[in-house]
Amino acid sequence: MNQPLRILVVDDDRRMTRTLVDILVLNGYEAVEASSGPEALDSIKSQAFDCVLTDIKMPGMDGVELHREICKIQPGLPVVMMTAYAAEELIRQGLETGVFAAVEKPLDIQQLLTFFASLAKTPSIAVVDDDPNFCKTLGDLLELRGFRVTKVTDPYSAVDMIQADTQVVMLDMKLNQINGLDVLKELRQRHPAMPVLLVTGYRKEMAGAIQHALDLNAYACLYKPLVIADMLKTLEEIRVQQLRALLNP
Amino acid sequence: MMLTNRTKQWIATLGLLLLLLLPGQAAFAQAVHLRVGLYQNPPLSFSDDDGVPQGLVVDILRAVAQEEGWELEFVPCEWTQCLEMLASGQIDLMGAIAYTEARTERFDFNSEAYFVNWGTVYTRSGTTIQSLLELDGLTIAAVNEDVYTLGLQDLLTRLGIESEFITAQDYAQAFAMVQSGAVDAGVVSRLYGVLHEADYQLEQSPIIYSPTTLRYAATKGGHLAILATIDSYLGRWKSEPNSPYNLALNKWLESHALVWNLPWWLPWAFGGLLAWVGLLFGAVAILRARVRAQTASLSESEQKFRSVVRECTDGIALTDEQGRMIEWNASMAAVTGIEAAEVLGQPIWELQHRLIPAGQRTPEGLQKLKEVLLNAIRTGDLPRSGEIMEREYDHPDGSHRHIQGSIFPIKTARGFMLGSLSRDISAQKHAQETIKAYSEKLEEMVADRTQELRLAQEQIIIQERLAALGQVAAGVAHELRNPLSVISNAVYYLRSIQPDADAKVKEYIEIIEHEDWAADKIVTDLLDYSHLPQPDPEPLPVAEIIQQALDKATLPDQVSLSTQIPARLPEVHADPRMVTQALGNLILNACQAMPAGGALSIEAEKRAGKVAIAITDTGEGIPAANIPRLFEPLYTTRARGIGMGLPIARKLVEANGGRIEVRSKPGKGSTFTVILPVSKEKK
Repeated sequence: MNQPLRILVVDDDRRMTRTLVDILVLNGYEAVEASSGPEALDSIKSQAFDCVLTDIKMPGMDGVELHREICKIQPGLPVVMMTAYAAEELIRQGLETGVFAAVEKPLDIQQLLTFFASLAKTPSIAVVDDDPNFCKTLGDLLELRGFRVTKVTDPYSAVDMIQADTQVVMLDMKLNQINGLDVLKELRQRHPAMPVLLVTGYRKEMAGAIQHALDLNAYACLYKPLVIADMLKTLEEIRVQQLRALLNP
Repeated sequence: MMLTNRTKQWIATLGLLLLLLLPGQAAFAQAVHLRVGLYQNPPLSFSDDDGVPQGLVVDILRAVAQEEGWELEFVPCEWTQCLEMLASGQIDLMGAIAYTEARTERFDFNSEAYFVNWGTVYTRSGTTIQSLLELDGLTIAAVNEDVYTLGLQDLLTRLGIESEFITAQDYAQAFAMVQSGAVDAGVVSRLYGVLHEADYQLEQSPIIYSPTTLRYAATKGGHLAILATIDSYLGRWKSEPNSPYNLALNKWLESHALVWNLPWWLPWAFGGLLAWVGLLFGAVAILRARVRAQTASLSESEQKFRSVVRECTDGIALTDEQGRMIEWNASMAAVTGIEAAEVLGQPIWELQHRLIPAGQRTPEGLQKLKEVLLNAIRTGDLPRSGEIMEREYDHPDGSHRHIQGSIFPIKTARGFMLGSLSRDISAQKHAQETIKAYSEKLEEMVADRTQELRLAQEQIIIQERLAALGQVAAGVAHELRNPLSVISNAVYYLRSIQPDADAKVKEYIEIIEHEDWAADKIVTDLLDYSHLPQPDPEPLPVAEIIQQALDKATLPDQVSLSTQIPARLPEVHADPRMVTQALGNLILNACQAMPAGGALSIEAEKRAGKVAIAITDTGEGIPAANIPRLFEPLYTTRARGIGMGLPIARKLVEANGGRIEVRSKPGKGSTFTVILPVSKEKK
């Protein structure tokens, strides 16, 4: 993505917004400050943002209320809340209504920057299937949806071709020459935490291998013919989980 | 009369001849032969100086025998000997014997009395004895089994008078003993007395008693026909003035000045006597009424006394003037477990001695007791008389009792009796002891409760302080963390835009960053303490959590570390972040205790189903007085820090079901031991 990430920083303490905006700009992001919920909402209505970083406790409208209002204007816009102390009840409400994460003040700037970098990055995916047609059509579809796709039809080269920054792997369980389970085992040795989404057209025949794969921490199993909406939803889930994990290790 | 006698003689002679003529009927024809007991009791019966039987009963019997053709054999014997011989059948008949109910058991008597007699008491002339009461304590000569001896003894016993009876062979010996001064008095029949008082210079006392009739007695069941024959003669002879009976009476009694024929003055005297008797009867009636009233009163009093003694719930014992037990009521038997039958007549000192526990009885003690009590009987003087005393008593039923009692003399006409009251107070004693024990227990409980309350109050004060602290912490945290966050942002920015700043600038930026961190740590501690999150426990390997805590802590260079963690230690069940933080706080505390350096050792072991992790320093130690305050928030003895490390550590450990123990030797160092529950999962 060539366009820099646009971040809205909301806090009733102007020095806080000021220092944060300066740091974000310094790191190559576009940052806009707002000192209250209503002010933030005005900005969102007039400009497009990729993320909102807001204080949880503010006079007038608090962070949770602000998030609710943002959902009405731009659903799906990631909102991260900042808190000066354990306002557990507000945090719980926020997370329940879809707030991305809550971070404590004083802020761990490095952690935040890592998160924003991840958020800015084009999501990368590897599709492993010995059927070239299936591989191509699925790959094209995912590219169209904004993914950076690595298509792998040779199961033997699969593990070498999957890069370390690949965010998710879609692995066909029934490959011609080699069992998908063996690919998974090799992959786990190199990338223990990389999310793997299993794909198979043989629900019953592969049941044992699938269970084994799930035990090896495969994320889930999708069945051919693929329901694209379900697949995209599952991929989004995985992405959100990965991003949240960056803020709450 | 002579004719009749002759006719009878004829008939007897004829009978005898007939019997001789008829050899086969020899036994039938045998004459009646009677052996008659003869003892010295003139003028009724006696042997004269020539050994010839004489006296009233002899003459009457001879007259009957002559009429009936009986052969009489007089057998001399002493009085008691005569009685025995008569009872056993060695003799057949006896005269000069008074008729009594008791004697009819042993002998048969004829019905017609030949003389009326009674008992009298004689003393030496000049001795004035006016009544039975005055016989108390005196010696009296008397003939054994004589009806007047028995009569007097019976009277004295009834009146409770004690005299000593000295046995005399017969009345003559009794009189001789009185005359010689061997005894104080003698008992004889009035007949003997009147006839012989002058011979012994004795004087008759006004004491007369036991009027009796004199009759003939025979061996039981053997001679009823003989006795009936005597009766038939006596009955007839009494009304015939010149009968052998009246002749014998005249012969034996008149000559001794016994008035049996009316003298000329007697009718006059009799008139006077009648008047006197009338007066006497009046006096007697009055006296009798008085006596009856007195007796009734005495009897009522006695009844009252008996009821009180019987019903009294306290034990009552009473002795006579010799110290022998005469009263022992049911309550006394209950208190002592000794029945009245066992003790009546026993000396009181022996009983008193029995009431002493067996182990404390000694012959000397008994002797001493006897002396004291005998003295009390004689003089009425008893130490601690009437005072209520308590003592322990081993009851025969095996129980151990407490007895309360008193002993006291009671004055009587004859000296002193001893009275004693006893009461079983075991139950009260027990109740007292129970109450005492309860009271002590209560005092203890009150003291404990007071202590608890004081501690609770202190706890409340601490809790209030903590609640206030929590509120302040939460409020302050928000206000402090925002500026702290801005400072840290600013530091980050400055460092980012000036990667090549000179050393001084970099140093100052670092100083700002560190102080910002230190300030935030204080806020975090306060929040941790007042807003502890719910623990999320899981099985934790002990070595791992200790390592994590050590990783987070920065040990000063001058502190050396040694750890000792057994390989086969069970996993603990706790929230990993919380336990790591608690251990971290304790490690930091240990390092701060050794500002000049020292040795930090961490040892883990299994202890009573739990795991103990001991963190020991070689620092200055903690004075004993300060140990209870260690875990109070904001308590610190150090120049830096606000004193939240240990309180948070304790809260974190306790939230996970554990506890922290502290041992310290001032000058040597301290050991903080974290004890955590073992995980039930897996091994």
